[in-house]
Amino acid sequence: MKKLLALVLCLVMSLSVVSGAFAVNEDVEGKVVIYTSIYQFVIDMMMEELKAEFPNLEVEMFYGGTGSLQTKLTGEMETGTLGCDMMLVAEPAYSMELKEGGWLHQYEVEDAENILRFPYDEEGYWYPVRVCNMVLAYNPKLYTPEQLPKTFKEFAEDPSLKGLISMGNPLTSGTTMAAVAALTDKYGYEYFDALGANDVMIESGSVALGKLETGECKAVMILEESVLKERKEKGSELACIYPEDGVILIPSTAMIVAEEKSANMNIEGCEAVANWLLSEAGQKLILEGYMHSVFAGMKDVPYDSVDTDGLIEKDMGVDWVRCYTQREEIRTEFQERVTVE
Amino acid sequence: MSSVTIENVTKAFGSTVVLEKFDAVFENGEFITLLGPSGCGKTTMLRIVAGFEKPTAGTVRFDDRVVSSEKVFLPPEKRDIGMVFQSYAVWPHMTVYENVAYPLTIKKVDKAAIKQKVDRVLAAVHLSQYADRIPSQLSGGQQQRVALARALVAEPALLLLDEPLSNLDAKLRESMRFEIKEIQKEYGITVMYVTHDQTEAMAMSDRIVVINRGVIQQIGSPREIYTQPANPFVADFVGKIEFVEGIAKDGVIELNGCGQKLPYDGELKGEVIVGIRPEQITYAAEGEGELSGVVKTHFYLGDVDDCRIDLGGGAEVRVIADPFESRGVSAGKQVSLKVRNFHVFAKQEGEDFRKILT
Amino acid sequence: MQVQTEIKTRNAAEIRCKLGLVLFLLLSFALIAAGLWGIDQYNESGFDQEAAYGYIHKLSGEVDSLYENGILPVMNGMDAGMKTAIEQRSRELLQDAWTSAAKEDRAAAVDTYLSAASDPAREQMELLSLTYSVAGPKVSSKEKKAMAAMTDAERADFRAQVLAGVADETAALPELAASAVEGEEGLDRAGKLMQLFLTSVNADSEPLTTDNVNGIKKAARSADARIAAYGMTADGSVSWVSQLVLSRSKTVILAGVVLLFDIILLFFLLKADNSWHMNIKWIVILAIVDFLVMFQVMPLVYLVIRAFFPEGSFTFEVFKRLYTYPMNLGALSNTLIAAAATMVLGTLLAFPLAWLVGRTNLYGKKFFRSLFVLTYMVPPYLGAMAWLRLLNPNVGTINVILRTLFGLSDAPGPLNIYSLGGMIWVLTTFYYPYAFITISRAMEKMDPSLEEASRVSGASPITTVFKITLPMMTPSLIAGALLVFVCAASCYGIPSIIGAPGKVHTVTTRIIEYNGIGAQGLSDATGLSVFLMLIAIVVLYISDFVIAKKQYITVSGKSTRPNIVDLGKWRVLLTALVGLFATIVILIPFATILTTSFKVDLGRSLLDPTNITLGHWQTIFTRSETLECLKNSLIFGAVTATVGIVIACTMSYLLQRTRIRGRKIPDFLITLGSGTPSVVIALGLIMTMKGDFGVNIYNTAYIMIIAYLIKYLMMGMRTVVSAMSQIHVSLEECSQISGASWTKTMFKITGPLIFPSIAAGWFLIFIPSFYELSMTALLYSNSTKTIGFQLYEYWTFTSQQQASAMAFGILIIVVAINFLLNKLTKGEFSI
Repeated sequence: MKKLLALVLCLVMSLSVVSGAFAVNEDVEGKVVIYTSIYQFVIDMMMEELKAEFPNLEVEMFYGGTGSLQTKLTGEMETGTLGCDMMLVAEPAYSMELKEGGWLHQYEVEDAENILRFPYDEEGYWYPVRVCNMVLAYNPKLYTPEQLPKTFKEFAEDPSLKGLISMGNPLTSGTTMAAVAALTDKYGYEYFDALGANDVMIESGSVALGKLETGECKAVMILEESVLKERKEKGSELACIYPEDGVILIPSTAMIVAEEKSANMNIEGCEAVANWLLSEAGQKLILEGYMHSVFAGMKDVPYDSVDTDGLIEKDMGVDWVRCYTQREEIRTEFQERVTVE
Repeated sequence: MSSVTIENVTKAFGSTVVLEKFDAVFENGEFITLLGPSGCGKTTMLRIVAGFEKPTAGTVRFDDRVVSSEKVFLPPEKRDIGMVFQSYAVWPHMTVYENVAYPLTIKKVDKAAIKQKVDRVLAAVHLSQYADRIPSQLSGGQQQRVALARALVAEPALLLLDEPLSNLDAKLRESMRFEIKEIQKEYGITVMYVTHDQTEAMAMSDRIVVINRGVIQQIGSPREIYTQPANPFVADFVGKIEFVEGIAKDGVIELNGCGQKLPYDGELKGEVIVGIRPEQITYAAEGEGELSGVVKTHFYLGDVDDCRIDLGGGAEVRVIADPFESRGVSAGKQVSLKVRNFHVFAKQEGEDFRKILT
Repeated sequence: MQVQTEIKTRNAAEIRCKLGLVLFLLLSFALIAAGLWGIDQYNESGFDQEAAYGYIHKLSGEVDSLYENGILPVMNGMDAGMKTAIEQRSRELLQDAWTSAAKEDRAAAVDTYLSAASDPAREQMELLSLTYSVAGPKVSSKEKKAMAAMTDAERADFRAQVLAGVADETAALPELAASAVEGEEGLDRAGKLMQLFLTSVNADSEPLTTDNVNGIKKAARSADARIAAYGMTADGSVSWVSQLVLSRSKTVILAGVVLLFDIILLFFLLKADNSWHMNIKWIVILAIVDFLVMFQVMPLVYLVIRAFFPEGSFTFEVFKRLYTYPMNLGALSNTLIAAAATMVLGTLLAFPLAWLVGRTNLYGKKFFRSLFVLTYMVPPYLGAMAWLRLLNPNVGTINVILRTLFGLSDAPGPLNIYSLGGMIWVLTTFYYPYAFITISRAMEKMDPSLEEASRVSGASPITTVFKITLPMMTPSLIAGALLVFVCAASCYGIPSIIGAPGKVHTVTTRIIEYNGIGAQGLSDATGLSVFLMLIAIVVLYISDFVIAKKQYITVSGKSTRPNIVDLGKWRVLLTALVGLFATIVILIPFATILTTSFKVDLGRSLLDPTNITLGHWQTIFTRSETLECLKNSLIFGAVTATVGIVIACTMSYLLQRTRIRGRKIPDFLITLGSGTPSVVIALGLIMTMKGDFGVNIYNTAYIMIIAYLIKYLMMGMRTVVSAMSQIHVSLEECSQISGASWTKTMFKITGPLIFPSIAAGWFLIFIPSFYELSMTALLYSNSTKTIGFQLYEYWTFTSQQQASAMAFGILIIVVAINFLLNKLTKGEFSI
């Protein structure tokens, strides 16, 4: 009898702790494990700030490339519970997939429709916290802007670029997948044929940047943040081309794992972190990490990038639903038209 | 057939000198044995003759041809020799026939001639019916004979054998000794044989080279080695012998410790070492022998009587005699000994002649 | 009489042994049964976790409407009718959501509970708290801690006062409660006070912090809830055995299954040996086989089975789809061609090099021998990057030089590394050391008189090599070739950098591409991996078949003194050739890596002094994580290598010195693992080692060590097997006759004889484990970061230059370790 009471009370008490208004910071306790593909140095900064903000919260960040993390998560999903409590990785299509699989926790961000300038899940399963930007990059020391493509279309079709262009692999990189989804939306699958005919090299961003420096490549399709990082930290002269037919803005989301499937069942802690990310302090950090902010009206930009709202206007736009539902088809088309002779 | 001339050969591995001023000439058709304890350098010498080692100094010649010297070096495959290794070195991936035929195959002799020669040599070593077996199917003795056949098939001028019988049992060893000798006679080859077994050496050799610590002690026929050993080492290494020290003076040698005297008309004076072989001592009637002592131990071995006699003062001799002759001899008895013959060696400074150094 | 007693004692021992077997057999059945019972109990107890959670969530949802519609008025007047309604509601909720079975029992229990309370007021409070306290204001941790600090008496007082405060708003409250409800009134106040009341009740046992609340939640999701559930159905307390069984049901079943497996295996082993006598060697063998099956086989087999049962029913669908897709077929053929070519080229290079360096008087032998093994001391993709720098058709350094030298037209060309040929070239330069090491170790131990006999028979050194040395070295040649083939086939780094840009796809790159898309992609990826696993098996069987045909005993107990072949007039030329080879294959790429590590800008050369920087090297030394990673890598690598070698020696013994049927199976299992791409191994481990099968080593160092073992064990195995095959069993039999036990023989005779191969095998496992990154990237946790992972991070997200500095640093460390061990063991233990 007593046992029943005790158990019931325990369960009830736990609930009482969990729900309710957001906690006072000191009361945010316990442990939270986050999987993220944010740069290591940004992680380091974030850990420091989170420690200051939530002194009793133990945050553990597990870092990996998007493909790597997705692989790991796939494996964990097989077992029914994940190894993390929160994920800061990939883009809305992946979030949609996870939402459909019942892996995510619903939470509310106050005034979301006003503070965010990027799409978010109406039901509250995911929100964007940072924005990546797919652009073209080149090496001004070796080439002048006139010699280079001004649009994504030219990038693929200009025969003088044959064998001299590079891009990521949409089969392993979420952002590249989003980018090619947008591009094929706009130009159809013939875009892929053009890429293939131009002998585009498929490789990772850092390898591509290296090839820009040595001159092996003339132009590469890459995330703006990689270029900005080079520019700031190494004084590199590599520069971005903001394609005239539209940049491709790719928001990256914060997802909280559904409580019963998470590692530490610390919803409160996760929500605290998520809210912090969507605060001034958090967004400032994002900017330091060479990414654009999701806040409407935020005028600051990462390093020497261009105005975010301006980019939004020129944004080619990604149809996230299509990106998610037609992923197989896009993959297959890419494989067959671009990567095979 | 060829003669082997070794002139002043020295071999050192780093700072260790293994062979010192080796000088010897072996005639055509001779059966020479390099005899000595383990590590004395005999195998090294053999390998120098074979061409697997280069001498640090000195020259080796076959007949008149220089094969190893400071300036010239003829590799083993060009020396026209045959060699039998201690480990047989029979190739496991070839049949007996192929093993034996190998030297001829290399020389590109035609198939018919190969067959004829191989059959002949296999018959000589009594292995004809095993021609198609692989070595792992043969016993040790059979493998050794394959090695021997292989060494002989090309009728080389010189045959080298490196302790080939040490892995065989006693009975087999005896019969192989005989066979090797027979084959040598039949083929008329010069043979250089390495062993530490003195019985083997005595039985098979025309001449023996006794080696100790890289230095030749004596070269001679078995008879010479045995009856006229050049130094205590040789005397001790070949055959049995007992040593007693003494002083040579005025036509006698007074033995240390017991004071007994042996008549001596040789040239050595002063401190000497007397060596007496057991078979050279016989029992004599009381007072008639040169030596007398007390029987310490007595072993009746069926065909001989083996006794140790204490001469007194630490001096001992050993007597191996016909049991008929030594009847009545038993431990503790006082006996008189007649010495037929004995060897006398000058005593070298700081040398312990009893030690066989390895 | 003597003989009689002897037979009797022997029979007695035999009987004892058989009896022991039977006992353990029964024990294993008992364990399995117990585990199954535990799971059954759990199901039967009706404690359905999902339902429990559902209940909690539902409750919080219910409460809102309840609060609004029914509870509010009650708080004020406790109208009798309302009270009944709430009671009813609570009962319904409890009954409805609590269990999925035996509802009548539960209902009865609930009834009893609800009617047993002696104090009606208290009962009401509890009731109400059950239904609506969840939506109320929560108790802060400050307050919780304060309450936990109270003594029992203080707390009892506190509770009484708080309760009074709920009933009467004007009643005086203890300070803690007063400050907690400051500014609140009405329902909020009452609710808050209720919270405090309940928290203090719980504080009697232990303070509630988020940690243990989360812990409770976790426990609810795991064992303790089951125990509690079980406790709820029975009257008495739960015994420790039941606790164990209930909380670790799966592990208990696993233990039972393992024991059963062992007993059966032991039975066959003893039967085959015909000696019913426990020998330590059986235990060792069994332990290792267990280890292999559980940690090597299970993850892979799980994956493979998954591929056949993607949606629960057996189907070839996945395989059909995968293997008819043209792109995959192309990848398959590329993989086979590349691996075969690499194997042939690698062995063709390795054998003469091993011979020149081990058996002749080549100049600088020792130097070359150390140099040749350098290429595999850095991760493959770094070598690929270096070659990319050198041979890319546009601006590759070598191409530029060739163009200027021969006055050829402008880019691209003449050499293009982005091709199948380019990939084969890089694979060969990277993997030939495996063959080189295997062969030269065995060559050292070969009886030189076999070659000398050929020389005196008139064969020149070259003829001897071809007619004698080469055939005799066949086992190790094949072992080396096999290693190269399998490694080249399952390599990912090189094809992804060199093949992909040139539209040359391999099975490994395709697998990675399938991986990203969720569950179906996983099946696809596994399906493709099966191909690689099969390759490894086939190659293993071929090699076994070929070797088994001939006897190759070459170490027969005579002391060996390798005979040096005099190269004569060829000496200088051959040395020059070898030097040229070393330069092209080793020095140039390494120099490229080194120079890259000092560059600011990859585009400019180092001759421009503004382009030189020590910054990258500085970063490595100043980053505090680096030391931690280094320590981890060293430990993991060393443990993996040591465990691996022990397994290899034991399994090799099983393979070559016993006649047990199925002795080839461990070898087969080990080879299977090495042919599997790293990512797939990691996935398999994630899926099977998180507790579903009774073992949970996720996020620990163990899972990483096991991952490395799966991947690299084969290297040690092959080296040891080929070495052991060249030793005559008589050497060991001799030891046994002298009275040495099996372990003594292994340690004192066999071990020392094959020691060079053991050392080589140790390094062959250590080094790739040391810098491994694909599996590490998926399996690491904060406390198990390795050097390889840092390298990967630098390479992908920092810069080529940084990665180059790190890689060169790794190289220096590994060389230093090799050097140190060499010196310490006087040349015995080194690569």
